[in-house]
Amino acid sequence: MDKRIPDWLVVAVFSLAAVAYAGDECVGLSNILKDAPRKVSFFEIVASAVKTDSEGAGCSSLTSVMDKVIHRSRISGRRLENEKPLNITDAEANLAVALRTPAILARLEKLKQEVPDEKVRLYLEAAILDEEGYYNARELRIQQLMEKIK
Amino acid sequence: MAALVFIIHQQFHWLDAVDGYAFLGIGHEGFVERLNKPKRVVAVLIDQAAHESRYREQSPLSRCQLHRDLKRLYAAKPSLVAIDIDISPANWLVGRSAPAVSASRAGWRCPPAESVVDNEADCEEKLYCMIKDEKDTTTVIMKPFDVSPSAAELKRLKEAWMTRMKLPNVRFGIADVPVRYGLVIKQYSKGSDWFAAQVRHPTAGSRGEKDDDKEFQYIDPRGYAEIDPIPLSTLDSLTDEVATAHIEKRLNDAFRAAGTRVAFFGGAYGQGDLYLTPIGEVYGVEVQAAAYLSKGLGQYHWLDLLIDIVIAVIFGVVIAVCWHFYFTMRTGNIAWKRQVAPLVIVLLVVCVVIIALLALWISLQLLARYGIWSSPIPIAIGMLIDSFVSGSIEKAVDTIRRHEVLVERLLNSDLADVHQILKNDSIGFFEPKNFGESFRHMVYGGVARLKYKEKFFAASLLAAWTLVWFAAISYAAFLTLH
Repeated sequence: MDKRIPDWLVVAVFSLAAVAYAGDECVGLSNILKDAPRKVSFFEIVASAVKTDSEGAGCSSLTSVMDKVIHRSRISGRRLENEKPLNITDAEANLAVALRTPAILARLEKLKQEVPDEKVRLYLEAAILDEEGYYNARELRIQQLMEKIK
Repeated sequence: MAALVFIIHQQFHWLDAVDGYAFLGIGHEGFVERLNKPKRVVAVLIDQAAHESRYREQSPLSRCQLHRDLKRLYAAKPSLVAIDIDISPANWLVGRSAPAVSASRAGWRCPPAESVVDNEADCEEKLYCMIKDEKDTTTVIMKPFDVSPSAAELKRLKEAWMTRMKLPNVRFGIADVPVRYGLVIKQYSKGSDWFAAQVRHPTAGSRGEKDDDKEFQYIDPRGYAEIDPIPLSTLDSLTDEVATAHIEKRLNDAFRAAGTRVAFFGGAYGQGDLYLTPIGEVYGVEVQAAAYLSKGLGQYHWLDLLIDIVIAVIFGVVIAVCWHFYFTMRTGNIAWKRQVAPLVIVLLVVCVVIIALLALWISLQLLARYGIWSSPIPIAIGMLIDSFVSGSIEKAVDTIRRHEVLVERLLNSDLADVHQILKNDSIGFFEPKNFGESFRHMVYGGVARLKYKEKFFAASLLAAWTLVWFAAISYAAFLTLH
């Protein structure tokens, strides 16, 4: 471990971060381990296995596991990705990186010379950036194009 | 009856579903018992929150983000990193990396660390280069998912990548887990190409492809308690340096307990890679970590048989006594006894429950304390059938036979002897007085009595039945011990 960072500081910072983390479903080891289960008597185990209602039972209890065995529900559909606004700063940084690549720069310069129509040029630039894998920069060009054709 | 249930179970696995669910409940307690023990392996997880924030819910996962997160993990100096994510080259990234990097698909030409950012193709290459360059850390990567036969080009691309990644510090593992009746309680154990086996053993081997080559081993549910999960979302607010220090501290703790610094890395989000295990629903990477920690469970079939015999003998007496009293009271002349007789059945039900709980308790103790799996299900089902079917029929037949013998004797006797016969109605009908007599009667006494009465054909049939019964028991013992 880096000697400059004391252990207590790491633990303290992590604890703060851990508090911020919240997941209330009993799915995954992290959630299951969250409520530290106590050791229970054999009779409690039997009682919890017979009990089928997990309401109020901790994630790590046998009742909760049995509840999963008896009734689980799954969402039977697919979600479309949420729409995310374009982060202009990220996109500009991404474009700057793309422009530092000589091959891409050469292709874009060639476009400038060969395509006088700005709208068409923006469209073709977006296509080049997509091809090269600079997606944020591509989105920036698409946004600029949309503004031009409004 | 327990022997027959056991034989059928061993041969046809007809109780596997029930057995699996029994293991779920019993295994859970094994997990709880182990919770306070030190953690032995670290699992860095892309949890739901991290998937939504750091990875922006993208599918496939962002190579750039994967590179950043794995970089933090490698910086914590693990001795082994097990990546349970298919990081093989993506088809859509082919030809999209910067020209200087593109050539590296044929060989190694790693992108400069700082020159390219946020380009998925370059990040993919940076990821592979980082794995290659982390020579002090062994990396186990899950074998890529199969591609459809029509995607021959993609298949070639992945094969070429696997060939390129054949490095001294890189191994591939097949991350399949057997799901049986909706549960994951076992892992494949034959061969060493499996993911957990590759993490455990440094030597690779070949795995048979035929289904009958696949053998299973229980995943010790106590292993789940020894995994230290680190959700990536908990590191969101930390700088790279602090996050790495945190992972390093957790690896150090695991090292003190296990003597190794092993870290699993995988996805713990969504519902696609979620499995029902004895501890609840957990993600594939967590199953793999538990499988790695598991040495399997002891399965001493002779112990199962011994427990079954002891319980069967104790319970056999209880069944016989209960049904004897029931039929005696039910067919007797005393009115109140006839009405009270059903209570004997209630008593038998209580005894069945108590002995089933005893079998359950024994299984729990064996698993939680000694890591031995002994299923209480075959004996419980055998007991149920014995209690309410074969046991009652046997006693009912005995009662009817006793009455018939009595009537026969009364018809064949003088009037003067009637009083004496009625006072002692068991004359002419054998009833064992104790366990030893009962055992002797069962083994050879019944045959001897019939032979003595010169009923040779009946004696032969009874001897044949006795032989069949002993053969069943012996076969159960044979199956148990082999």
